[in-house]
Amino acid sequence: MSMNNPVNLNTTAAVNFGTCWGTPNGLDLSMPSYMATGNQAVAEAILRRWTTSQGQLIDDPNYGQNIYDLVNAGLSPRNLAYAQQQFAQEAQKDQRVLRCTVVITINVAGDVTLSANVVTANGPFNLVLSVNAVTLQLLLVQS
Amino acid sequence: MTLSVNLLFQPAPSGVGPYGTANGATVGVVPQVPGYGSWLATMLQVAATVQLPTTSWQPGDPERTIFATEAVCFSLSDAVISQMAQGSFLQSAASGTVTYTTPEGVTVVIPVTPDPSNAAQNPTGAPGYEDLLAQNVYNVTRLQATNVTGPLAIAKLSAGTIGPYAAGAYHVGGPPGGATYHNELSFSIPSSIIPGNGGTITGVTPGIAFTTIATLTAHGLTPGQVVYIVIPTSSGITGLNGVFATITGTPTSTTYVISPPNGSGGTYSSGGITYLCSIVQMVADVAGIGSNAGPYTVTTAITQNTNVFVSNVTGWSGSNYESNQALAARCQLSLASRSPNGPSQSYTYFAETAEQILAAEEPPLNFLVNGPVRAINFSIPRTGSVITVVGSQSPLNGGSVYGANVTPGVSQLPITGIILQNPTIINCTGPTGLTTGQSFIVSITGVLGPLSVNGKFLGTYVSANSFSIPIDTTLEPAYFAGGSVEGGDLGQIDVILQQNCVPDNTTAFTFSALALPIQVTATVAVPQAFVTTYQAAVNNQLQNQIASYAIGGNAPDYQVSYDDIVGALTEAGVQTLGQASIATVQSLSINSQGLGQGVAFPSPFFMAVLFNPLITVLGI
Repeated sequence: MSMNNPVNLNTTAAVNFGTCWGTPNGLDLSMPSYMATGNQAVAEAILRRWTTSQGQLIDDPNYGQNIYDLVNAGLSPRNLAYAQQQFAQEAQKDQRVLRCTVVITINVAGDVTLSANVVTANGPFNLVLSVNAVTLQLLLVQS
Repeated sequence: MTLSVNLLFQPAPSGVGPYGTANGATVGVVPQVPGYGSWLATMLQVAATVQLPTTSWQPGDPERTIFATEAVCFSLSDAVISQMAQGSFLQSAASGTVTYTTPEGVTVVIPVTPDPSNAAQNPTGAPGYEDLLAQNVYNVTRLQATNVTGPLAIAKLSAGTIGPYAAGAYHVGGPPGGATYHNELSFSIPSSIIPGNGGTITGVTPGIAFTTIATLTAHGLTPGQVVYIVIPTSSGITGLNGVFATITGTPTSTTYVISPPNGSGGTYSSGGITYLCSIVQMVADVAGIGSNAGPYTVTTAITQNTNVFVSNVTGWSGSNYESNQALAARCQLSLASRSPNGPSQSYTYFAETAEQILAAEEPPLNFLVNGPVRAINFSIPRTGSVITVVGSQSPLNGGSVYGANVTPGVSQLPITGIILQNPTIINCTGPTGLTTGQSFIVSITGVLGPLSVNGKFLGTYVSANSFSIPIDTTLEPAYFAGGSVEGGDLGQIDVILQQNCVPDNTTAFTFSALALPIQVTATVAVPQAFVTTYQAAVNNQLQNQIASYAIGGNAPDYQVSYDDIVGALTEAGVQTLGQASIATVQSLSINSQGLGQGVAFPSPFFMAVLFNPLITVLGI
């Protein structure tokens, strides 16, 4: 798996969302380490949710909706719509997220592209992820 | 207020998510505030003290996940620490448990020291914390389980030899409980046909106790040999058609005497053959008393051959691992052994440790044939005598005879005369307990005259009141006076007590406990899938229950109570420590008595012995 384009939404936030260790692309800790704040902390938290299968987090069995589960899943349009709803709801479990909309597309090769618009008290931002069997790429992070 | 070690060392819960609880914290609400006293609560408190923003950490944040992971690890470590800490105190090392919750939310109860006398807890007999404590603090080592061993008689009714069978290659079974055995050394099975017409039977004088058989020509048999007798009932004789028996006497060259297991009867007309059995030493496949076998019960040749029959003409017995509670009790008794010649506990300690003391002696002639013993000790104020009563773990006759001695041997049996010859014959004032063909270790002291008989020898049966020892006293001075015999297990234990415990001007005696047979007849219902498991566990559980009674019984009621046995039958259905039993006792009778009736110990000399439990297990 390869990852690139770390989230970079560190801004002077109007609302304090706290700080946490940076996890670019939602997985392992950054090296060298940095502290995420504001919408960046929220974006990384959402990425962690979308790359964790439900039941895998040690202290929250309801946490997680893994985007890898969609790769080569052969979803029907109805199921795809349901998945979009699930991923949006997963993001909104984070109490800092006011609203989230998700659009998922799957090409003929089975690769998944997830586009999300997230609104927090510090304003909106967009995330675009591309996922196939071996890679996860963060294509776009835009406030 | 009494503070128990368990209270001191119960592990703290992790406090993580829905899996951890502490002091009634709500389960299943995420995120939850970890309960007071939990590891996660303590860690968050420390983190907040050093100004970490713990309240802003969301589910899935690295900091929160790391804290949660560590809290679970600390909680699991706590369980190990609790086990170690309890292992430092004798009683909690023996019977303490640790309760903790796994990351999967399962509550687990583990013993501080898995008890090797309970196969379900410790099937391999691995030593634990209590063993470490006993060795390092009390210098006491747990008594190990021994494999049942004994001689197997084999009758091959056809010509030729079968084999050889390498050690471990020949297998037999048959006793209730399903124990199996294998040969200790390589051997072959020769023909059992007696050459010439020495095996051809020409006459039978039947009897309940003894049967005399006549042969056509000289049989060449000697006392102690085992024969297989085939006298069809068409000959007019009952009880001797396919029977193994030990020869107890040979009045003439063409007659011999046996004690058939069920006697014999009828009037002989003609027919019948005697076969001379070969003997091979067998050992149980599984250690412990679960493989004990009564006489004539090992009759199934698992390794099958045509015209070959097997049987054990003597009972076979081994011993279990010493239980955790028994080891703890002996550790405490050992304190008295530091100041012997006085404390009554020192008698009990040395008696119960006799097996190990004897095994360590040189020459390695010394051992307890019937396993380790339990003991009690008391004095009789009227005479000032000190009495020690011992009972073997593997009783004589399986403990089936009410009031019979449990431990074989004699203690301080006076000598009345000595016949100076090779081997030397020792005559005593009473029975030695030996029977034809039997031997035991004897210690002889105090003989005046032929001084070389004072010592330790292998004594062999000569008659009820006499035995031989393998030394030549032909040239020794005549017996003058004095002397006594310590023989068998009982005698060897008394020797140890006399050497280690009895102060000057004190008279001490060692007696065998008397058998109090306990027969349990019960019907127990368990789920169908657990029938086999329960059947395997219940006898062991009953053995442990019966072994928990001291000689003379336990205060305050001094009886094998009905409730005790119900408890044992129920306990055998506990699949996992700390969980409920799957067994329901539907009916129970102890020694054929009615509902609720127990069995009282008649005196301090009686020892409860489990005898042939009849447990019907119903699958529901």
